[in-house]
Amino acid sequence: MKMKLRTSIVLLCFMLALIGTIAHTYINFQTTNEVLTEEVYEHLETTTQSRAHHIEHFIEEQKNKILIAATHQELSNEELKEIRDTNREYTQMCVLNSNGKIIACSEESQIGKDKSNDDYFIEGKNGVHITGIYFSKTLGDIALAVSAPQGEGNVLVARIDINILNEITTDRTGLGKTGETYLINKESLLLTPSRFMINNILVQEVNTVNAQNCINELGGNTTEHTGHNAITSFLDYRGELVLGAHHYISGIEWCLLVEIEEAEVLGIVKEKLLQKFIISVVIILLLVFLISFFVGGYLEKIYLKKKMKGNISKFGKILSKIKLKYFLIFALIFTIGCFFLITSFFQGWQNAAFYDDIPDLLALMAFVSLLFFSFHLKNIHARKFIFIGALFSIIDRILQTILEEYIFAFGVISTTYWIPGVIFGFIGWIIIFLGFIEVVK
Amino acid sequence: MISFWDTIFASSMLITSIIIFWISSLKMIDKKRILVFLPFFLSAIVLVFSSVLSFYSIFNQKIWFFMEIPWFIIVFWIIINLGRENGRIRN
Repeated sequence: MKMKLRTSIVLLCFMLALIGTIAHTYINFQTTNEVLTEEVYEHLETTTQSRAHHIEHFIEEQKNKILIAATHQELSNEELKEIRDTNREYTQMCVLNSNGKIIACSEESQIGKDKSNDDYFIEGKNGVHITGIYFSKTLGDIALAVSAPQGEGNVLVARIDINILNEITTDRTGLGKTGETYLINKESLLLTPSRFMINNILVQEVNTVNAQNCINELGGNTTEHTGHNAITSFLDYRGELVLGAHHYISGIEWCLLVEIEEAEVLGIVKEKLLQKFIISVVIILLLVFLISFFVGGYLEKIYLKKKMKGNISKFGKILSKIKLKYFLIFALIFTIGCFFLITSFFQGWQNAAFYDDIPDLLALMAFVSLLFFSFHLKNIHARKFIFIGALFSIIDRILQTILEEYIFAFGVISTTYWIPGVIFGFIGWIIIFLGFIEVVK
Repeated sequence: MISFWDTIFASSMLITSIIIFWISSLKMIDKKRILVFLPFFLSAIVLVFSSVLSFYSIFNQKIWFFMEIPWFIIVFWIIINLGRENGRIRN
């Protein structure tokens, strides 16, 4: 009788505190999570737009520069060299006549070459034109050229240093350790180096959801995203789960793709949140346990002194009368409830880590059944042992399911997080074993 | 190379399995009731296998699926045994 009052108070307080703290932290976690996710999305969208405007400005600047240079009616080799040297973007400047032959050039060795079939000549005759990034057989390298009509039927062509464009796209400011920005053309080919593929320009095809969404928008007159969100979560060209945004570069049919690993941006934030969540729950439960333990003991003394009579083990008696099949039904409902509650924290039940969860949930159901079955035991010591052991094992299985869901959603985390649950589980298993020995005695 | 926390994880599993294995084996011989203590004996074997996998840092989901499933069977087996030993199983 002496133990029962204290145990009842401790258990009641513990269960109330457990439900209260979990409900409170759940709401807190969801709210904070939503706010932080929103911030991360906004940051990614801002970065995308800022880079895209930088590239658009760069292209516009090149067009304006070539138009200014093309106002000269005649350009000699020396004048072309001077223009090239005063503009750090230009690597070569040439004038092509109406037949596409080079008549003046900053590299005199190029004079006389026929470029009549080149895109920059054909398009440059009609107006200012910037070519897409292409492989130049003359240079033996990746090139970008801008051309404009000049003089009487001539075309002025300037080759642009591709590294300046690369400097804009490879700037990792605000993109962490895994973030990257790169350009692709309408054929989905990589145009600028990506963080993980440096030498695959015009070779690597990027067929991701982000790339496809952007290509579908090419040619449209609006930058509004239709049929998808501005930020999407998808598998990148390496097969990693990333958050990505896109922006098509108007007038040149390029797509700017900005991607960052989801585990880095949201994983760290959520890991910290989860860490705080676990610490706060453990501290609160520990405090509640200690307070209820001492208060329970005090009340027990008063109770014994006053010799008050009452059926304090009524709950245990009711449970001992319930048939096992009802416990099994309750255990099943509890397990399913746990599954839906835990997965709602992460990616929802549709995207749960079923492979990891199923064995743990089955074990959880078995331990919940064992916990209730302990009330059927005649031996009071065995009952206590098996009840506490099953409770520890339930905590272990719930923690394991939470961590498995977390890993499935955000990637691997430190093994340290497994240790508290594991200790609970193993201690619980030993206590169940000791209780079992008491029954078989 | 196995990390510090993986070692703690695997060691705690191994210690638990040794305790269970040792006591359940003794009880099986002492009380001559092999089937009654068999689920605990099997749980110790599962724990030994799990700790070996952990020591080699093998955390493949498919392997662990089959390492975790026996717990469901073992616990229900224990419930049945408890019911029999307790002298009253209600269903």
